[in-house]
Amino acid sequence: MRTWRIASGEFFDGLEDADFPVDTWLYGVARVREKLHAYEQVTMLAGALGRAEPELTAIQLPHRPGDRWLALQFPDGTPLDSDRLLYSAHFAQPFDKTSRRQCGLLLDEWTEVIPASDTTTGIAFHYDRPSTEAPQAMLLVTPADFTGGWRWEDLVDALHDTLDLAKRRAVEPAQIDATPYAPLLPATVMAVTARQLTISANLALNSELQTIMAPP
Amino acid sequence: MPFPLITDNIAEAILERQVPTVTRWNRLEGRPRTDAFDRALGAEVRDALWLLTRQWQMGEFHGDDAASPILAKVHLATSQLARYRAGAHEPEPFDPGIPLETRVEARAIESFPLDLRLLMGRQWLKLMRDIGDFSGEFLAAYPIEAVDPADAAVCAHPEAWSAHAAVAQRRVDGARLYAHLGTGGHAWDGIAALDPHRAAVDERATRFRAWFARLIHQPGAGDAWVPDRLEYQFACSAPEAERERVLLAEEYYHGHLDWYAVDVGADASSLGGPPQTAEPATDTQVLLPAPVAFDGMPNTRWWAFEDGRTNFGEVRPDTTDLAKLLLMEFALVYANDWMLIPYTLTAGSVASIRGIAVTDVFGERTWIEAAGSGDDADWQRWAMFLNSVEGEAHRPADTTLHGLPVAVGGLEGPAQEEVLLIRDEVANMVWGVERTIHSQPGSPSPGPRPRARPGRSSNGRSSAGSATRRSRPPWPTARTSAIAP
Repeated sequence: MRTWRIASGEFFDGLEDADFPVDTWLYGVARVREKLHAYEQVTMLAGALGRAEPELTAIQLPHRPGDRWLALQFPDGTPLDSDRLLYSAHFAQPFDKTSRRQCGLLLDEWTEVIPASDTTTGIAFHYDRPSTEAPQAMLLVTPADFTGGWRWEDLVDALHDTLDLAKRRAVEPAQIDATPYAPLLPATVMAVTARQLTISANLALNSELQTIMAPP
Repeated sequence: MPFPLITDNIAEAILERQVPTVTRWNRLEGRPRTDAFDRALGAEVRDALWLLTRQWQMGEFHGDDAASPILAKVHLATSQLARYRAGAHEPEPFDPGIPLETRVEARAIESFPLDLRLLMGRQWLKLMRDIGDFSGEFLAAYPIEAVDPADAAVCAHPEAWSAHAAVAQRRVDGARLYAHLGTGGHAWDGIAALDPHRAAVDERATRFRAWFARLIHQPGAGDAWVPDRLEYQFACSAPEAERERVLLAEEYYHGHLDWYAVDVGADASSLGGPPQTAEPATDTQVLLPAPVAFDGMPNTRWWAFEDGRTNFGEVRPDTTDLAKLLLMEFALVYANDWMLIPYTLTAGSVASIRGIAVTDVFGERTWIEAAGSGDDADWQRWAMFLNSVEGEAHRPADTTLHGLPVAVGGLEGPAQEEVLLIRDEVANMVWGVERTIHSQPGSPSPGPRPRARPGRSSNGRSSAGSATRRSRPPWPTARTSAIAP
C-alpha cells in the first residue's frame, strides 16, 4: 500500500504558478530561512560551476486522494481539517525502499500556520448569575409515620432540619460559653487527681503543670 | 523529666491515707480557629453534614435575587474593508487575500540583490527549457556582471565578493531581463536564434513577470513607510450607510498588526474621493450564551477540584501594577458572571453590535449596553479593549470590532539591517551606529566592530548604552535612515 506519494500532477492543480511550484516555494522560504537561503545558493552555484543543480521533490504526508499541496495557494474549499507534514527533499539517489539503511541531512524544519478566512470571535457580556450551588450531600428522607404516602410538609421540614443540623455542625465552644449549656457541653470530660491516685488523664501535662506544682 | 507529683506506691498511700485526693475534671474543648489558614483551605472532607456546613458557610445556599441567562438575541451589522491607502498615496481597493502586514510593510525593490537576480535568471531559463536550450544566448545578453573593483559595497566584504565572483559571467541576471521586459522590450531582442519562437517567448515573458509579481509583493500606488519617523502610516476604510468608516494607523512600527494599531478616523468621511457607501449587512441570531471559562479560573463551588496549572493566587502584584490587579479581580471575583456568545466573522470585516437582549430563566429580558459606551472624551469613561477615536472632541465612543485580515505567526527572517541611534546630549549630536548591514548576496552581515572587543557578537542584543562606551563612534550622522528588509 502506498502511504505517500511524490507531489506532482494533481497536487499542483489550480495553481497560478503552475511552472515549477517547488522552486517558487523554495525561493519564497529562502528569503526568511537562513538555511534554505544557503541551500538556494548551493543550487545557484552548482549551476554556475557546471554541476547538475539539485532538484527538490515535494512530498505531503499523510497522503489523501485529491489533496493539494498546501505550501502554495490551494483552491477555495480545500478542507484544512488536520495537520500536514510537508517534506521536501533532494534525493541524491532515488529512494529505494528495499534498502534498510537510509541516510540524509536534515537542513531545516519549521511550523507554518495557514491563515483562515473566517475567525471565531466572541461577544462577552456580564450577567449577575445566582451564585448558589447544588448541595454536596444526598439526603435520604423517610416518612415520620407510615401512612403510605408523603406529606409535603414532611419533606420541607426534613430539608429545614438538615440545614439546621448543618449549621449546628459548625458550633464552636466559644458560642456555647454564653449559654446555660456551658457547664455541660462539650461533654468531653476526664477525671484527674493531683497525686495520680486513681486512673486519670491529666491534660495539664501538656501545659507542663508539674513544673509549676512541683515542690521546690 | 520525672513527674514530681507521682505517687510511687499507690496501695500504701491509699491505705495510710497519706495525702488527700480530690478528683477534678479536665474538659477537652476543641478550638477550630487558628491563625494559619492552610488547613482550612485544604478543604478536608469529613462527614456528609460537614460538606453541607461548609457550603452554607461559603454562601452557596444563600438565595440571590438573580437568574441564569438562557438565550441571547444579537443584532449585528457587518461591513467589509473595501479600500486601502498607504501613507498619503491614492486609495486602492482592499484585497482581503493578502495579509495586511504584507501590504503595509511591503516596499519596492530599489536595487535587486544578487540572490534575487540569480533566482530570476534560473526561473527564466527553466521557463525557456521546453522551447530549447538558449542559456548561452541569454548568458551572453544578460550576464551577471563581473565585480567592479570600485564597488565598495561588494568588494569590502569577502563573502559578498566571492559570491559575486563565483557567478559573474556564469549565470543569467534575471533582474536585467525583468527590467528590460518592464520597459516594453521583448526577451528575444538581440537574440537572433529566437526569431522562430517569438510568440512562445513573449508568452513565457508574460508568465515570468506574473510569477515575479506574486513571488515578491511590491506596493502598487506607493508604500506606507515614513522614513523620517521610522514608522508605517496607512489607512483603510469600510463603507457605511452614509459615510466611510476610516481606520487610521498613524504610527505602526510593532511588526505585528492587530486591532490596536488602528484608530477610528473621526472627521474623515472618506478615504479620498467621494465616499463609498453601502448599507451594512445585518444579521440577527438567537444564541445560547455559555459561561466564560479560562485556565486557572476559580470554580465557584467549594467542593470541586480545580485545575492547578494556572494559579492566579500566586500572581503577586505590586502596588502600582493596576493591570495585574485588574486581571486578578476579573479572574478571581467576577469571572463566573461573564457569559460568551461565539460569533464567526470573515477576516477583513468590521462588526458592530446594534443590540443584545438577554432572556433569563424566569423569562425576564434585559437589554445590554456596550461597556465603555458614552462620550469618547469623557475622562471617567473607562474600558479595557476599545478603539480610540482620533482627536479630543466629544463624540460617541466607538465599540465596533475591527477584524483586520492579518497573518498569525508568519515566518520572519533575520534582521537585514540594524542601526543604533544614540543621542549624545553633551555634544548635542545623534550618532547612528550600523550593527548589521544589508549585504549584496541578500543576507545580512555584521557591521564594523570595535577592535577593543573582538568577541562581541553583532546580534544587536547589546544596548545603546554599551555602544556609547566607545571613545569615538565610527562616524557621526545627524540622521540615519533605516531601510526595512
